[in-house]
Amino acid sequence: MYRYDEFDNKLVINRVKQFTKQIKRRISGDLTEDEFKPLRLMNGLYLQLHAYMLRVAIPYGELSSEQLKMLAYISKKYDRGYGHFTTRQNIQFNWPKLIDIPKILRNLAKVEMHAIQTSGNCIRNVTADHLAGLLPEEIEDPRPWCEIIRKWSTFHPEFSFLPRKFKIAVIGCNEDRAGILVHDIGIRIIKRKEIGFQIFVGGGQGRSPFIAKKISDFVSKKNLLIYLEAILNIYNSLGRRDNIYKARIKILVNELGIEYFKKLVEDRFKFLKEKKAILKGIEIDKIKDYFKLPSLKVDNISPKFPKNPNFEKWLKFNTLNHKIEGYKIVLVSLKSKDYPPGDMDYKQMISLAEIAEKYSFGEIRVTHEQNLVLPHVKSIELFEIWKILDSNKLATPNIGLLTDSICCPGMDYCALATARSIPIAQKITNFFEAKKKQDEIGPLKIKISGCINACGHHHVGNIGILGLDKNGQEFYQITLGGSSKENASIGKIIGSSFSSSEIIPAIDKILDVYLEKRKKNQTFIQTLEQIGLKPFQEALYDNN
Amino acid sequence: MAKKLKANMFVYSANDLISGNVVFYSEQKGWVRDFLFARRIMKEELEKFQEKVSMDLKQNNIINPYLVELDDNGEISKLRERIRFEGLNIKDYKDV
Repeated sequence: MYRYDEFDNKLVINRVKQFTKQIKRRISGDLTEDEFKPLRLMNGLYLQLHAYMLRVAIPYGELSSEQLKMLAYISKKYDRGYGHFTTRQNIQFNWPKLIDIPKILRNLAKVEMHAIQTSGNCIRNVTADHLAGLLPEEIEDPRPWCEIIRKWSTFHPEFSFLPRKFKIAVIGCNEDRAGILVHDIGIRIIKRKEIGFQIFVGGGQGRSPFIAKKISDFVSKKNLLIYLEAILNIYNSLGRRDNIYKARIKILVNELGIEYFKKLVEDRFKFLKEKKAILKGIEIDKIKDYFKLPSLKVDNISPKFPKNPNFEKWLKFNTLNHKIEGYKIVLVSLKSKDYPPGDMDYKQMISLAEIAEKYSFGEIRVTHEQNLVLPHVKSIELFEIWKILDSNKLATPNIGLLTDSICCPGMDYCALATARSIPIAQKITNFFEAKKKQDEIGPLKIKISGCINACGHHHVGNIGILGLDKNGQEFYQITLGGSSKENASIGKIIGSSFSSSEIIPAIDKILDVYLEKRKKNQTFIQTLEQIGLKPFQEALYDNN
Repeated sequence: MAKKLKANMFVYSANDLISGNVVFYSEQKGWVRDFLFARRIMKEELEKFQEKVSMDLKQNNIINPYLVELDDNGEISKLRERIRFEGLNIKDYKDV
């Protein structure tokens, strides 16, 4: 995995020193809150419903066991003993004290981590497919490209005060596990005569959801950063700054139309190409060297395991084939019934870090669906690993199933939320686990947001749930048919919303319709496309 | 400010600058964690307390002060504010 060079180290340490001084000046009263707020946001420090919240970047979702141990230490020493993994490969600490932030940041810097650009109107943490570098069908590993973009965009003077926040995701397979089409810029590595990039622009969720549009079918490797710069130049010049709700690039692309926006970008790209340095092969190769596979030696590719139905179920849902025979990819579910989705306590962090050290070359990945990954595990050691994960409540066998839902912190933590989302996720888990229905249903994405900002990605849930405030009461609107995959779509509102006591029976009815109407092996989306919304609406709203 | 508010009774809430904790204004003890000690403020008293709160804000004891509406029994009426006062209503980690 990537290791900081001397510039990275200096840059992070200098920022810690700078922000430490700013915190001191705030506490002494030399800075007012109005002056301090933009400074703290640039360092990932929010004020939420109950307390401060610190968001720490996990670039392209890659963590070392040493880093995970440090996150455990920080959560125990400076927080309440847990952290929350987000949908954009960050971790959030929900209870830090302002006075402890310098110590937290110094500790993070020791393990090459930081909270820079995890907030504010800048280019945020660049995310990637959590299976990057692990699958045989991958065209090229997207992580080196994320790192190249990270280097380019960190403290980029021109892009530190964009009209609004800016999110980039990169994938190297046809299958999209990073939601590139709901990002400001989505990048897909493709192969023509040579390997390059398809670029998508203007995707996003929030109150105005849009699926990104293709702006270029092929950008060469040497020109990637120049092309990105051309897009950001146009956005920076023409993006609206007068209305926060219309400031994202998706609104600009939609208002100008993709063809005109593309023309502006292409003209700018031609201009920049003459002036800017291109990426050199030697520089790209230097970054790629950090992401080589560890030495994986095959010794037993078909192990025999003890008979254990719980293990067998976990094996079925929580492991994938690695491109090297004899190895597996283990998906660690953070969706047990005992914890809010994406949460992990410090003991679990330490335990998983030790498993990674012993069994997975010290590597862990964070997925955009709020789970973790052990990327290189010997097949023969799976039973041993499962036992340890199970004893730490990290072996819930539900990856991709309906209880593996994405869920924002909602009104339990968030200052912006209009309803709670975590209790809904927990009710769904308890209800459907008790009914033992989810195995029969199979793969299904339920995504839950506590407000229209859509941090829980409800727009792209096969079943999306949006929390609303109706005259002081929590209500939940359901959308059907959303997807963040390669065929991304925005879900359609099914009808009027449900109270918190009605929402679980409503989901149950929707799933009954699906089970009754689906043809063999049809996914929820395929069934919905075939039968439309009407049968679902009749089941939910027909009183006769 | 009073014109925009529907209730007749309020408490002032804010976050402590250093800890970030939710605090309430109490006449005797300053800003306190315990809602029970929060000074109930009637609509007609608002102006007087706004001045005190502005002073504390300038002295950097608190951030983000605002009025929390109460019902006629002096209890917090809005769910958001109840969650903020009572803390998380999801399972506590020590119970796991």
